[in-house]
Amino acid sequence: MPDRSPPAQSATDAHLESIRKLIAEDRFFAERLRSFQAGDLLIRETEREQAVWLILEGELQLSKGAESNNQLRFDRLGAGELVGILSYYTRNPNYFGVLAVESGRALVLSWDDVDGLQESQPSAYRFLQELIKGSLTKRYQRLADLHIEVDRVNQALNQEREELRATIDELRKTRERLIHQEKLAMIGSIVPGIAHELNNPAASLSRNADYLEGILKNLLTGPDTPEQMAQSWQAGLQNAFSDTNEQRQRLEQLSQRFPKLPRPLLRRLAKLPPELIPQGNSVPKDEQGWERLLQPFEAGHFIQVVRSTSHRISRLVQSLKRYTRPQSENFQAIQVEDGIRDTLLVLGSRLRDTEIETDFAETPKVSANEDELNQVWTNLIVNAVEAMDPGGKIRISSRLVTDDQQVEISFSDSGPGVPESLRNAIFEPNFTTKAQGGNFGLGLGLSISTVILQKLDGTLQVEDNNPKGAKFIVRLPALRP
Amino acid sequence: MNDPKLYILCVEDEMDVLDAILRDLSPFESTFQLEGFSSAQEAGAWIDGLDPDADRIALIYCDHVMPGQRGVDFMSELQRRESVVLKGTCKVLFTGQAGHQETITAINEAGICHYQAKPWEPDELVELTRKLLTDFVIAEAIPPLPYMSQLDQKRIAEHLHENNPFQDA
Repeated sequence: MPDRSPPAQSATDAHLESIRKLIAEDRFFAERLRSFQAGDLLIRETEREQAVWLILEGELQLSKGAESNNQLRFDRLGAGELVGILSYYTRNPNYFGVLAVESGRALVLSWDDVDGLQESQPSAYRFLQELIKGSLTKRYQRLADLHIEVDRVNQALNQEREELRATIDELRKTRERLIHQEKLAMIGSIVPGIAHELNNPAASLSRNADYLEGILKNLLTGPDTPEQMAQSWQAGLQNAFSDTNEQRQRLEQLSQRFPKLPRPLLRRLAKLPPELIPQGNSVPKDEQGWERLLQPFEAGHFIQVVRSTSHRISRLVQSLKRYTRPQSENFQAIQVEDGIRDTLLVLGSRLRDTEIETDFAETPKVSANEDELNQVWTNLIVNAVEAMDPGGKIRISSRLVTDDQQVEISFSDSGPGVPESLRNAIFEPNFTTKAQGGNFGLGLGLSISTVILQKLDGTLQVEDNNPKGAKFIVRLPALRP
Repeated sequence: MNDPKLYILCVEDEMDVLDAILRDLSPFESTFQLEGFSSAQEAGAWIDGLDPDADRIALIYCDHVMPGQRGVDFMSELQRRESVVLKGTCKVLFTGQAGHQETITAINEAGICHYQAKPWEPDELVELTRKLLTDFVIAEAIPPLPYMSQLDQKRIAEHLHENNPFQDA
């Protein structure tokens, strides 16, 4: 530790010199000289030494627990410094043990000697007083330095702890990302096989529906078949499902109109477009007659269902493949707002019942593959639409976060929001609240989006929207202009 | 008291699948009331409109993975309702996938009596329905005669026999 007080040091030296002179001249002092060797244990802790040691040469070490394994070393004291001052003033046992670390000599004065000096040798007493003052001052300065040092070490430790925590955090994230990539790789390895196995039967379904349609068309629309059957067949081919409430109402009306018909027949009849329900003379007389009306309709309807189902399987396979096979690395400079506007345009009819509000700032371009990025927008918008009841509202806004030069795009909806407990799960593959139609119903949307954005060094997060709903936030590094 | 109207409810968000279930269950429609719904909300609201003095729901088939309320949650909600209409109702979860947690909820909270995997065989569905309806009629001590044609007649006969107070000791 640096000595910050050279003047005090020189004063100490001067007083020490005077004491040396006294020793040379005065037997009283000469008799109280004591030599010590390095390694000598001069005073034991708690011993009632009842003496004050003035070090003339050599070096002593204050310590606690010198006789146990757990030794704490304190100050080292050199020439001109004193040992036993605390005990002398407080009349308590020694607080420290004292060990010689460098051979030398000390003047050892008992407490009575010190007390007596005041009367018998006032000048020696004054030198001693000055030396005590100097020694205590020095020790106090060392204490202050020690505090400062402890504080510095503490700060360094704290900083290290923070760094460790950040590292652990980073490691955990990395592990999660690795697990995710591992899962993707696993899916990727089995998808081509599954895609092939699924596409074949899907294609077969679709082709056979076509063949069947051709055959039935010949049978049902030939010159010999009644006009009613042909109409019914055509209607079936174009029939879309009406909702269950509407079907219930139609079923009720029909059961009042035809009270004698069995319920299962009425239920089938309820699917027929109202204009095809026979009236007056054309009402069939028997069950066969009803079947002749219903069966062509149902044949058409079933073919349509088979066809749309096989189409749906193909779409699911496609989206699976897209998910596992990263697309081109061909990045361009992209204005995100343009892509979002395109996506809204393409989604058109799906957004019929949703109010869309955009609030775009003039953001810099980002580097990305346009198709992939559009896939992200599509997923986020469709998710929001499907989470809300009709009449819901989506607000899309963009801005530049100047701190870290990121373009931020947020999608806020007025749906039920994402519960805290699901906030990790929704980014996992297979998480779904499943949507009618299956276009995006594989539960891969957010997972795909995450993968795409990660590749661009971007992020996707979810938080609560105010006052209700979910807010998905995309961040992408801005390109330098 | 008149014989209660016994209902079979089917809840399924995909219309073509719902259509197929209803079609497969149509043989029961001569004796039971069959109703289809495309969401849990729709079914829940419709149940509120039933007449507690005349209507009983014997059986509910419900898809699990649906937008809005999921099957298990809907069944749990019904389990907590104290309507006499739902007394003893047999609940079947119709599912292509359900995880471990859903299974626990299904057993502990939703009172689900059966899982039916998708896809299903029409004959099996009819037999399952017949068994569960018979269970319901016996457990709820409903006079079985009006529904006999669609129940497991052998079991009903045995049950009547066992509980015949005039039977010889």
